[in-house]
Amino acid sequence: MTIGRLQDAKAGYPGRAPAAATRGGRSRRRLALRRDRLTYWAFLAPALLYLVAFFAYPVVRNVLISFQNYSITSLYTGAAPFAGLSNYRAIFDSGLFGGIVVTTAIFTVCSMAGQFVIGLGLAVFFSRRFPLNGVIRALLLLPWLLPMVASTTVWRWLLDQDSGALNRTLGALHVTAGTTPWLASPHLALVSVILVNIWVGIPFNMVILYGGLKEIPEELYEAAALDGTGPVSRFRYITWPLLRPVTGVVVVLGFVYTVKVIDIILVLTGGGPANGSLTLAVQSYKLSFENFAFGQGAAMSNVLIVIALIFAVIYLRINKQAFQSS
Amino acid sequence: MNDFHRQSISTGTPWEPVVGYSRAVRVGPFIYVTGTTATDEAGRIVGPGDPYAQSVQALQFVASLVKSGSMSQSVVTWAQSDVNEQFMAGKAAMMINGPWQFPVLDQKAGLKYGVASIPVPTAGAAAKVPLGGEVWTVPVTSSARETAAAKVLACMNSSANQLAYAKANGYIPSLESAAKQIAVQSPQLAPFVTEVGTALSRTAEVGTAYPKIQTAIETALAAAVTGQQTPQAAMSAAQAAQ
Repeated sequence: MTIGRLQDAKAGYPGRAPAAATRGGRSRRRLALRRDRLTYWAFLAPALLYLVAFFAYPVVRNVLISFQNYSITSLYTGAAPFAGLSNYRAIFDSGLFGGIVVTTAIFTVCSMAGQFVIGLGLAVFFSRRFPLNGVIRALLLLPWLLPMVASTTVWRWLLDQDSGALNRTLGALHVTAGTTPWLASPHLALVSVILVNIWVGIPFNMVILYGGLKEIPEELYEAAALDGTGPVSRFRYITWPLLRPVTGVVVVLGFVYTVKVIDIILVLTGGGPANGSLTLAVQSYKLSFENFAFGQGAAMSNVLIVIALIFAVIYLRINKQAFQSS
Repeated sequence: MNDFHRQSISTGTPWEPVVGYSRAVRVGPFIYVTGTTATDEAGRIVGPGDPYAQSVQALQFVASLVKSGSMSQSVVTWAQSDVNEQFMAGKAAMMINGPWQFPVLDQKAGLKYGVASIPVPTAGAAAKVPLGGEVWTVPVTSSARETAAAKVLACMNSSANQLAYAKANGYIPSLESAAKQIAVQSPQLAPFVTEVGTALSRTAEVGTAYPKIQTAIETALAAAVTGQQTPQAAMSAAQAAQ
């Protein structure tokens, strides 16, 4: 609506509407123009204020801190000497960075793949009509509604090596010896945090993809059924191509949500053992709030922001294309 | 368990009879072993005057406990409260923990336990336990702010407030008189009161580098215990992380 008004104002601009160039008309128009400008900024102001206060300021501050030697004393004195690139050098040369990037990549890719495949499967399943469909679908949203720290704490108990329900069950069924160190082995810890993160992310993927499925016209399936196509072909030639725009959105948003996951890993493993589940986000937290090296923590989170930003740009591109094609 | 014959192995240190402690206790098929100094299988002290060699030996010992099945590998995920839970569940005969666990311990009806001081190398020597808890500081700011902060500190440091704060959080007051008072009121805190007198603050020697060192040692311990790295490699990595 604002944009529409602005265009009206532009149309009334003297240079563009020479036919209305009488003196009285001009000043009246100028007044109207000023009022329109005012309305325009009044509409923009809340959003701009919000963005500056809660987005621009923290990001700029974070960038500044990453170039400062910001210690716990800086919190009191406000003095943080300029440190150049030393914080970035410290995180890149720590000997951990390569491993952290690999762990973050494995965590993100595996989590997203698991969430997407299961989410899509459930979305396709629920797009058919059957009794209790709505109830079960609502129940599946639960992981999304529970406070993350609470549900992850329960997972920590379930995955406990000695008295966890998972090991007890697997042991009783003679699937394993019942002593799998789910959270206590550096390699399995990463698998465990991925599994829990998949569990958390399924509802998001399912809801968005379910919405996308509902958008696909029913007639296409009816026509396909008349042509005698099987369910696999229907998925391959109707569902999948028509779901592409939504898929793009789910994948890119999922990436941004996953790459920055911190609560699940902090509660389950704290990034351990022996840095086995240490991701960029967790290390950023640990540097800032365990080692109190705020400069290095800020540098690490800036690396994360850049990575997320690249994918956010991709998301906007995909979104634009999807918008234009529809 | 009643069918199992109990066999204790002692080495005659002064505090063994005091707390009823043994180097190792064998009960049926179980052998409970305690860690001591950096000694090898033959009982010789490893690396005298060489902290690196001693640390490697200590890591080796802890890792071997997990490897032999004497200790669960999940210790690498434990916090102090987890250790406390293991003790309450009867899965640990002893634990090194802080006085803040007493409220939790006392919640379990019928749990019988005793408290003993950390052992010392020779009788009468002072225990050098690590001292944590909260530290109140007056940061260098403006003189008006510093005066105001000092006022708050003086208020917190009054005997009555220290006692109240310590009781609420399960801590030992830093005022000696208040600490003695709390030891009389709750006798189970008495060993802690004695230890706090000679304890070593975690930041006393290493200052603000403490969190970094702690992270490095924690990582080394986890790497050695999980078999990710040899004790030597883990300790070298910890040294390099400084």
